[in-house]
Amino acid sequence: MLGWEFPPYSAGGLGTACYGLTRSLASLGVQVTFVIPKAPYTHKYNFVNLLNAEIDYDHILKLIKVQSELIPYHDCFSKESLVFGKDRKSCFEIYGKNLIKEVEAFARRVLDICKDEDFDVIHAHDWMTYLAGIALKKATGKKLVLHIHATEFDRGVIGINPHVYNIEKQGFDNADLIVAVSNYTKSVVCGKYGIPESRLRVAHNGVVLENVPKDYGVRVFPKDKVVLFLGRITIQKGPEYFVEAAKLVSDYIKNVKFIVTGSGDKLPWMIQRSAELGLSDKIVFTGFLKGDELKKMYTMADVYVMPSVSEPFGITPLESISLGTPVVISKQSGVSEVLNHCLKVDFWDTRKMANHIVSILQHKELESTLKHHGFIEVTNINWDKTAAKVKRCYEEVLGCL
Amino acid sequence: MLVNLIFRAHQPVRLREYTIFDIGLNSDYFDRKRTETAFRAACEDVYEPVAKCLLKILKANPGFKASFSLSGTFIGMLESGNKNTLNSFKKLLKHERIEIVSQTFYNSVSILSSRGEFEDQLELNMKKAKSLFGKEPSFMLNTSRVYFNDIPDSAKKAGITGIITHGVEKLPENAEPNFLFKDKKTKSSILFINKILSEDVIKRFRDKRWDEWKINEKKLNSWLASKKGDIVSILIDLEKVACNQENEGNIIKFLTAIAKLGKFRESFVLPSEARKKLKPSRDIDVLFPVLIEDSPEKNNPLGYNTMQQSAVKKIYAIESHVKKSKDKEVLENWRLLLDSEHFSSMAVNDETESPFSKTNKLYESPYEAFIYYMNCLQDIRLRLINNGRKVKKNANSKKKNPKKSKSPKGDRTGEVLPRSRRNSNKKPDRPR
Repeated sequence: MLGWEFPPYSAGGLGTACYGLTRSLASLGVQVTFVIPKAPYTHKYNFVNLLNAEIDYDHILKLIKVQSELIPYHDCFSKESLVFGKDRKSCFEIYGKNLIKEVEAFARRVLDICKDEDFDVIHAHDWMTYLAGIALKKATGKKLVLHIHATEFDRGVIGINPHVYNIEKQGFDNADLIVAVSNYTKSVVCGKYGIPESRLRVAHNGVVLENVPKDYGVRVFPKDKVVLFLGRITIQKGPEYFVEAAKLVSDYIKNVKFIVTGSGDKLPWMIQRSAELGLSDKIVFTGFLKGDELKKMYTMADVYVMPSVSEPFGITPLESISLGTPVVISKQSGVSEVLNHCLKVDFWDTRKMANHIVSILQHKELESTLKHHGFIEVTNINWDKTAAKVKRCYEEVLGCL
Repeated sequence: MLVNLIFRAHQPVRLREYTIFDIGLNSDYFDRKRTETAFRAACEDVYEPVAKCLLKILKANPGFKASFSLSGTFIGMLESGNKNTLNSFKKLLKHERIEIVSQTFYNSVSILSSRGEFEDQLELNMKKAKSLFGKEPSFMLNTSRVYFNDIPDSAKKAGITGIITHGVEKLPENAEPNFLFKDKKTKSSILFINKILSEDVIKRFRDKRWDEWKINEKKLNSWLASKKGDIVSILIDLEKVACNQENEGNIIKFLTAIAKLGKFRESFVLPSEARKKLKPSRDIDVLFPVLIEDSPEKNNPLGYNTMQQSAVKKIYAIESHVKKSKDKEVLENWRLLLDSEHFSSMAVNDETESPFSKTNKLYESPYEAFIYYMNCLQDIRLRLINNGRKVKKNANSKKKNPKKSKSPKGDRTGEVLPRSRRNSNKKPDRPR
């Protein structure tokens, strides 16, 4: 299995997803060798064999700092990217080319390292490993399964990077089977990359939750209801729709506050827009948070809103529900395909969004029913089902079915 | 063995996506267009063919008899645009061998919350039947999923002396359904629906994999002969027929098959005739509401979830204010909101495959059903408050001293209305 990150060496959701998937695959009797670029120190997992492709570590780190948008689900924005729009385009050009080169180098190194490995199927996660996957397929003749967690259309901040698109397209063309994390992503791949549906399978993500809703005892606004937005503040996450809905909600009920957690290139715009709408005293921007602080945000909130314009899967609503906060999510997200006990709206329908938010805040019985059934539902979403589907894909490409 | 065939028809009026931004601005709660489309389709697929088929059977078969129970909502829809079907129904229901059985006008389970409203709705439905079809019902069909002594008691006050209901099997003193019973206190006659046969008709009749397929008159006759008892009541819910059977031919075939039973012997009977012909086998005495129908979808009135409970509680909490206000439109809207279908569409369960009630195709989720319902309720409250103000103003100008009417926001619900709308009808500033 080829990945870009694996816990503890992960910055975003891809690592967590790979971890959950491999663990459940192992329990199904699938042996996984996981290849990631540069593991700085060795860490033993008893269910996965972790290999280390030597790349110039410092060089990569430098790239990550600036080119963070290109890393799937990456949440830690460096300070540079927060400098309002300054030289962003030129940064992209300079480092973009190097990153592509690095990806190519990674492919060559993977080929060297995996020469002596014994395996049946190559499973590659997201575009950065696709070239390596293709190279390995050509060298060994083994079958290639590609896993799409996010496409360039879900990530691209300043438009679509043609290099990345090309790599993705090349990967899809060479793959024996493609696994998408949702029907939504599947439709993107079919529509935007021209891949026939018959070559795609859907395996919804699972989630590993420390599902102990714990009261962190934090109420910054003891008298107010709290509505939360959490995630990268980029155009894909629909921050503008959140602000518009916030305006409608605060016009309707007085005792309400909005918390925006996360960072991204749309943050300055978001701050400005909420000031324009007269919401400055209602919206609190916390910046990027992680770990316990993130959990505190979820528990502080009375409702979590994910108005994503485009979301391949979206794990945050599951986290929110597991911490006891009901959610309003956009229908344009993969997670809406597996989540029933929540409220769903089209991301552009801010009036309905506001209506749903107000309803959750006003009706205790609605909130409690959503909480109760949502929690039961979320605890049943795990990686075992995903792993079973992925295993089926392996069997399919190997002709065992 | 006598056969008592009962047809039932009701159509719920669907709520539209009534958001908080509509509250106080418009009181148009119902999705008339969608309701009408669904209704028209049902007319074409079921009501009209069934009515025509029954008319034909009545003509050809002098022994055939059946009874009909139509909700007021259903009749209202017929009157407001489906003249053809209305005429077929008029012709059918005026027939001497068709009996009309009453039910709650708005398909409500009001017996559990307000006996007054229950009696009102029964009377309304009886009046409607009389004015439209010239017949006075003496039986009622209990469409709620509960049964207890209050039902015959209240029904008697409304002039109904016979009950047709589900679920003798679920009553404390278990008994066979195929007999005539008597309520202990009111001495009203009680007939129990034979659940298995009714389900055979509605669900399994079309199913070719069913080992008893296909039903013909001989098979029916042998079934009936093998059953213990005097009378078998078969309920055909036309709404369910519409859902379960792809083409109308099936129910029509069943009807023609069962009609031929008349050939074998004089077997059909109307509820009011059954009362004269048969002796009640024993008394029924149920002190507390008992759930009488298995409802796997958890939408039974005794096991409502918190959303359903709160919706029921809050809609009935304003009953006295609605009735005091003398505002016919408010009353009509409020009563349409009592339809038990609204509450069933708020049912939730934890099954992963189909977490929401299968019959609930009206809303995207039970949560939305609840939201729109509560929004409508808030608007009704607001109308009542505004009405109260108008009345007070008028009264003051005539220098009378009216009793101060209590605010309909009686229960402390914590719901907040925007100030601008609470005080007047004035259009508040629309958010951009």
